[in-house]
Amino acid sequence: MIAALAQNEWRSLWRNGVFVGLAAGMLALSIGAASLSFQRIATFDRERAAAEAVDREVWDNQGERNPHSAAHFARYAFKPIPRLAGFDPGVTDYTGLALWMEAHHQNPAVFRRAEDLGDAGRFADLSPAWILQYAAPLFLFLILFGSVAGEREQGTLRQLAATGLPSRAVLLGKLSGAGLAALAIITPTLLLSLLVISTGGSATLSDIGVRTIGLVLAYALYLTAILGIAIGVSALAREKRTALIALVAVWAGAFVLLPRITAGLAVAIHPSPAASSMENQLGEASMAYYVDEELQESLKASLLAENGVDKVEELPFDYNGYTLQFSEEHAHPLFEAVYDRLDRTYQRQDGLLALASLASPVLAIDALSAGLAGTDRLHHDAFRWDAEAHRRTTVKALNDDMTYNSGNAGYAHIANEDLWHQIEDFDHTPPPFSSIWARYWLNILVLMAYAVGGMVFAVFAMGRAQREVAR
Amino acid sequence: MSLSTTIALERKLFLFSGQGLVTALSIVALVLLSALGGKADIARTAAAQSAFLDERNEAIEEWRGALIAYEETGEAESPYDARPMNLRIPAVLPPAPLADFAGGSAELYPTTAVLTGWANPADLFSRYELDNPAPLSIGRLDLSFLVVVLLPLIMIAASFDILASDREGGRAKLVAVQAGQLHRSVWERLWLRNASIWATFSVAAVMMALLPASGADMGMRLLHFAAWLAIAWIYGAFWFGLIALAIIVIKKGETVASALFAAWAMFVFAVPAVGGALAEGLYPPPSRLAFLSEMRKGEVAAIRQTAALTAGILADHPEMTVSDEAVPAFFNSAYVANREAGKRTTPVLIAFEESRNQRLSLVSYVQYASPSLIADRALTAVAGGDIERAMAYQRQARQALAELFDVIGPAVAAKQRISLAQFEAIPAFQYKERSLGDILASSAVPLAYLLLLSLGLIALARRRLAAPLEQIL
Repeated sequence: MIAALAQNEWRSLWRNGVFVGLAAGMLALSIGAASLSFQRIATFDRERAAAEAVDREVWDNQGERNPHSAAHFARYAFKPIPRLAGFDPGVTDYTGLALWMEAHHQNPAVFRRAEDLGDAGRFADLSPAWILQYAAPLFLFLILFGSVAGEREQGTLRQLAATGLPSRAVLLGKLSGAGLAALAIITPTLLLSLLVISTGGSATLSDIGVRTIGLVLAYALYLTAILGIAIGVSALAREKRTALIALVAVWAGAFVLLPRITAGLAVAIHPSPAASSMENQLGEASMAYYVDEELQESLKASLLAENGVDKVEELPFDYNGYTLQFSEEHAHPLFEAVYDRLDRTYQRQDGLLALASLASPVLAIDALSAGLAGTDRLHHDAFRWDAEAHRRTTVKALNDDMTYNSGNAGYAHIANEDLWHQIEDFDHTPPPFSSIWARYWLNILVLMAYAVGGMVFAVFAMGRAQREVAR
Repeated sequence: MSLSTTIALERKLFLFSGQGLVTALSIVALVLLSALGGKADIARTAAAQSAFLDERNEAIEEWRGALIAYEETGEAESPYDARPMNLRIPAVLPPAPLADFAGGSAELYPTTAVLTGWANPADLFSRYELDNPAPLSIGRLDLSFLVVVLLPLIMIAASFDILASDREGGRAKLVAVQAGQLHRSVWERLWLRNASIWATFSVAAVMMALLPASGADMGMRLLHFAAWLAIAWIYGAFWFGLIALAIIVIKKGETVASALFAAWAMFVFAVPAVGGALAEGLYPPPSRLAFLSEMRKGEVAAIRQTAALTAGILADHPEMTVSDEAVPAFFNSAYVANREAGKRTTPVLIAFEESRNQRLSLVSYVQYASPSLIADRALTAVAGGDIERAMAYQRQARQALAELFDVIGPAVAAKQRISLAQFEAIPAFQYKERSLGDILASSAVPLAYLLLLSLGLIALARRRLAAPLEQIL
């Protein structure tokens, strides 16, 4: 009987013009999203590889010069894009792609792709993940609003109740039919995404299998919750139109309005520092040694005492080179403090978004999906800190050359290209998901609660609908 | 049925019913939330810009004082004092007069820069990408979003069953038999419900417009607001016409609603998303990383040829004699490198501009398939949250940087200082705002199309409503 109900649901959906039209629209969107993702990832890879090659070339061929001048010219770290970005670009477009590893400065990443994209898709970001997160729920709501309310209006729900079939069996039949129909529409999105994922991406995710399974499970939970809500609301409503209005109101409120309200509130309650203020803080960290005359004097005195000499010119190494490296190391904890403060602000903003996911499951899946795909802020931060570690190593190598190989020539010391060749390219491996999953526990719990709650709600509503029509 | 009877009916069914009151309160709450959020954002930006300007102007005064002292005594306390390379002029993009009404893409772009010989056109705007990407990617609620996305939904929810419920309940026949003027009653009810929605919204929006925004001239603000509200009404008229046609043509209430919701999803999300993707696919932006590579190549080429390039600059300025004062060599090499990087990256910047124009051109065609896109672009442009304003600022700042380079270049190459007169002749950066007329002119054709489409839909709906009763019932 359950199979017959599922078959009936499946057939009636496919006979419905609205369903077929919406399904065609979803399919077209999926193909468009997958093509765009494919193009984006290929472009990212191509541009990054070309930029890395040029960066190495200009670095190696900068000619003979002082190592500290070279440290100012410095190199760039280019962010690799993980394969799963083809499925969910997350916040990739809103984070910088390149980071200047300059002496004296811990810079933020630059070049956000979103700045080049124009103003057409302000309300929608076409990607396979966006389709599953936003379009799929609306699609399910629009095709399922009449699944029980329609039967009630036509009187067939009473007939079903009369057969003595338990309400859970009816629900299971409806869920199976609707679920299969939804799967038939959503599967192409997933298959096309897999195709995109398998063809591009420059960052190796060591745990891509775990992440892919995690994505499948997360979206399964999410869509289960949506199915439960759709059928539950349809069962609660006495008329199809009431069910439709209620479901669209849920979608508009929880999927469109609430995320924006929360994002605005998060930034208003915990404002990020202004760019000019951050620039000042970073500048102060960078110049901390040079404005502290006491520190400069004490360093000088201790070096002279340690080496038993009276003048810096008599030191067995170059004093200027030494102070350059000292000033770098003096600035490290200060830079860390500035970025830690910024990170705490971000965490508070993200905390509010996570809290709002209790009322808006799309916020939970949005964050978790980007985390699993390696395209969230945490993965970007890992890139930033890796680049900073590389900057520190590179700048130290250049300062050390001036300190220990210049024969006290200081800024007049000229290094040749052999030194530039010794500087290694930046390499970044994204962290495993296991190292950051704890930041997503609330999102995971919310999705599980929504899936279970959605099903419980559907069971309750179905039972109530059957009892009502049986009276 | 007379108008007064219809009003009395609507007072019971919608205007003063729970549904109507919740709708009105929701609209007012959303307007307040959007506008106050926008105002808070603008206040933060304005405060940060004010602090930035104060700090920079103080530094300029200090620099100017050192220059005056040098001109008076012919000596400087330090070789770094009043050097043209150390002149740093602030360039600020102030919030637009109606910036709190549409964030648009503006929050992505820089609003401050420092014009200096240490910068080049490619890295003039740096270290500004500091916002948390998660809320940034979601976007914030603003009044333009409210108009484009949410008000049509509220209109659909309030209107979709005006005729269908009467048809299905048999009341339509009753009204037709008793009053004989079903079309008038339907039209008046439709009109009353949607007018109440738009009146509530407009009154709330006017109140928000009258609250001053940081630094904005109130006259200019109200002028922009008038244009903004007019565009919002045109867009509202489109949805009114579409809803009217749907409720007349489609018999079943749920089919009316699902058709209108599907149209809404298509106009608001699908067409703009596909249009944006199409524009990006057909005219991909040039690589920012290639842009960076060109800048680096230019810098390294200049570093290797500093002497020759400096000689070239001095050859162009025979009036300059090279000073024998000890000036750090990196002053000149940095200037020369930035000048060369500027030359190298100019073609890439032009390519960016061309590619952006091509995408905008494609989107300007695609918008005819989505009234929501027309409205969003026009509302955002009038409010000053559009990309064009951000790009205009960047162009003007780069132009000002080029002019500064022309003034300080020969002096830097000659290890000299500029004169006080030359300094006084450098204008403070002032963003030249586009006129409202220019903004409206660029949106005039699509807005005229939207207006005609709206009037056409309304006329068609009225015509269908005036059809014989048996066709409507």
